[in-house]
Amino acid sequence: MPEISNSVRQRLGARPAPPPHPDADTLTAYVEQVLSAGERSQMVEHLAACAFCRDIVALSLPELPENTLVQTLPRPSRFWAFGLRWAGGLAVIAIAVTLVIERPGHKSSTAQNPAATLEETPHADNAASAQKRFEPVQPETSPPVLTASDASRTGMASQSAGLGGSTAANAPRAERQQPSSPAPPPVLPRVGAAHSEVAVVNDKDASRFASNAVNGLVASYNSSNSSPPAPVQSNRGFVNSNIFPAEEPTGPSNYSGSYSYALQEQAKAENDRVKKQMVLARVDQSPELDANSRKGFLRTAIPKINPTRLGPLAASTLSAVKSATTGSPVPSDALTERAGGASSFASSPARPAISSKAVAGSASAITHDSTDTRRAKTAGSEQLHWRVQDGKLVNSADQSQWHEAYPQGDGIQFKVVQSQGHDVWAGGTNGTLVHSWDGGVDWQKLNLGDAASGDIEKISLSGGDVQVKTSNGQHLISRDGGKTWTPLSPQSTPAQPK
Amino acid sequence: MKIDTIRIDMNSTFKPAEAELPAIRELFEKSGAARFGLTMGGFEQMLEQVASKYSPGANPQQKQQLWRDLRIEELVLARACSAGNDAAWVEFLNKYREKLYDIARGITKEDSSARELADSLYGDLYGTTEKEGRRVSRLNFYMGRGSLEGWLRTVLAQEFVNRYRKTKRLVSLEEETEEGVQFSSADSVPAQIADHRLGEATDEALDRLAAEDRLVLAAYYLDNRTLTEIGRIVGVHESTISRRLEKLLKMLRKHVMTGLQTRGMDRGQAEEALEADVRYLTVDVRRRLQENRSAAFQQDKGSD
Repeated sequence: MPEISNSVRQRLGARPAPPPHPDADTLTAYVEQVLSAGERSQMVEHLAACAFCRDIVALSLPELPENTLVQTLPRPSRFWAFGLRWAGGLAVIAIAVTLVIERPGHKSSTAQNPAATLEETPHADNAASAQKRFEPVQPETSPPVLTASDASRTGMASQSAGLGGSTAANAPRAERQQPSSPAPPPVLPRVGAAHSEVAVVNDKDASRFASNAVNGLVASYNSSNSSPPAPVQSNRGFVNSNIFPAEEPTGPSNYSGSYSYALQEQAKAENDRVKKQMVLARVDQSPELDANSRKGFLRTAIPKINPTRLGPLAASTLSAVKSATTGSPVPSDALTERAGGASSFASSPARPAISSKAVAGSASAITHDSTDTRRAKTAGSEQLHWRVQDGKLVNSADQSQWHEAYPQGDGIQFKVVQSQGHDVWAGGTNGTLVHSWDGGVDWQKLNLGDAASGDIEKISLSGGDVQVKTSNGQHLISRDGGKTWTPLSPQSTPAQPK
Repeated sequence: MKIDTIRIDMNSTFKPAEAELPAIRELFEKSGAARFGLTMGGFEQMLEQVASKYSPGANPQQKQQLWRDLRIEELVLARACSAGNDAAWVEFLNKYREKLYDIARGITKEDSSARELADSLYGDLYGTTEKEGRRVSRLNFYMGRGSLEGWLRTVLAQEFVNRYRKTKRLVSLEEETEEGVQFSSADSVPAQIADHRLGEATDEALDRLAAEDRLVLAAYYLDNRTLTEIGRIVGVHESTISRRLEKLLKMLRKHVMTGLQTRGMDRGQAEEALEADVRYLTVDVRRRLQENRSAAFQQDKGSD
């Protein structure tokens, strides 16, 4: 939505509110739309000029029911949604399949299915135990594949995180989001153990099954028995703390219960894993994809959502999948991602500060890293080199290959950069100053205040203090990490950087 | 002290018109007022109180229509609670106790402050103070136009906004006194409009807009509400708000241009004045970004 001019903004906010303020009873009647026409027009007249009453009305809006909320979420782009659903569903299936294959010794739940029998095979105990994992399935009418709605509910969807375009601005407040309505249960092989055990991921096994987690990512979608995910549920970008629904899962109809079938599936999954890695490599280097498409495709299994909101089960699974796609080991504390936490809702603005994004590639020497690559760089080394090149902010680990570190979409022309450990400060035209506290993964745009004008030409870092100099000769200092700025008098000498 | 009979106004001499009596009797039956010990006289006075507030001087038909639209059961419950009726309080707590905490949690987004907010309201609802020997309960102000739950929601929101505004002012004051001149994010003097004709033309253009249009603009650009929220505030779909905003911006620009030209500027000067005005926008955006950054800064501090 285009911005309004400053004069309009000022005059809009300066209109006097007609007294008196309506009482709670009238405000409630307005919210519930039971006022008469005359009363309503008086109320609207008052609300147009009174920010206080507007705040109250907004806060007293009742929470939306689930289905209504789903309908108001903005639709993501087609490619982005398709990739997300595709990878999200595959990731979940892969985890489940891998657990079945990699975790032997689950007790059969034949007690739950008296008709099921275990066939003795001439093979060793391994075969028998593998046999036990596959039981005759209940006949079902739905295709044996995890639907997109389930994929969304597993936490792989990231629309709610506000990725891309105006979704952040228009997405409803997350606290009002409810889990999506129940979809058909995911079709998972019966592990034999408790249903919830299927999703258990501990750090010990995480790296092992995480590498296999991607194995079956294309399995269901490419197999003859699979069907495309349901197209309708793309807007359900909400995270549900329960990865798997409470219903007892049923196995796929093509399971024959044979050990050879299990081996066949494993081989197929391995092929698919290789295929996926090749596809990902091609996508990463493909210049014709725009920023959003690349971002969406690369980050399909690693959405930018707060895992603490998922619950420990989903969070650890998410972490494992992320490590599988990036190749980095699973962090020991998979729950402490930087994404704001539950308190991010408290008095947070509807239009948040800029967060990190993957940017489009180019044919020049400057390449663009995905967020996780940047995180890996940051985690692995504190020796990132920074400079400004052609107005762009770039960094490099070895000073040979330079990467654009700040999203280009903002139109900022940088002029100077200064870094100290993971703290990076960069200044540009029109008093633009940006700061990253984690080596360039996330950025924040800062405001120097009304008195500052001109371009940022120099930045000095001294301990916890940051000083900037503008092209108009102004010197400003911040002692609180950029939150507030104080002008330095002309006589005071700027502190020398260490 | 247990009070079994609800006294609305002991000294009232209100007597309903004959034409109103059937409606009042019907509503009395429907409300279940008798189980809380409310007499017919008290019930009549309660209804008259509502009519006086919302339809002063209305004829009996209008009053009856107003009464029929009330949430009469909830109104009686609220008045019984405000009078201290135990049965009413049991019913109120059963129905609204958890809802109150849920509403508070939805407003504050945090458990501890939600609990504090809800608990503070309980005292007001119960009526911990007395005036002229009568309990002063906030529930007396509920008039039944909207639902009791909605009213509780609004009251909590009012309390929250009041507290938030007080806290915000205190923080700004402390920062300013401790560290001298600063560029704090809140309460800064807005940049002045260069040409007074632009301000006048803008005022004129805004005056021409309907109140609802100004509400939409204010909610979006001043309050940073989402399209969905604004749609719910105004009572239309979010896509309508989106289209309306685009249309309003075009209309505003056109009216401001016209206003500038009637004030002696030619088209080129008017456009230049608007262009210059956009440059000032950068300052405002910075301030807004600083507000966002301060809030995000607090979040980061919390999450680190």
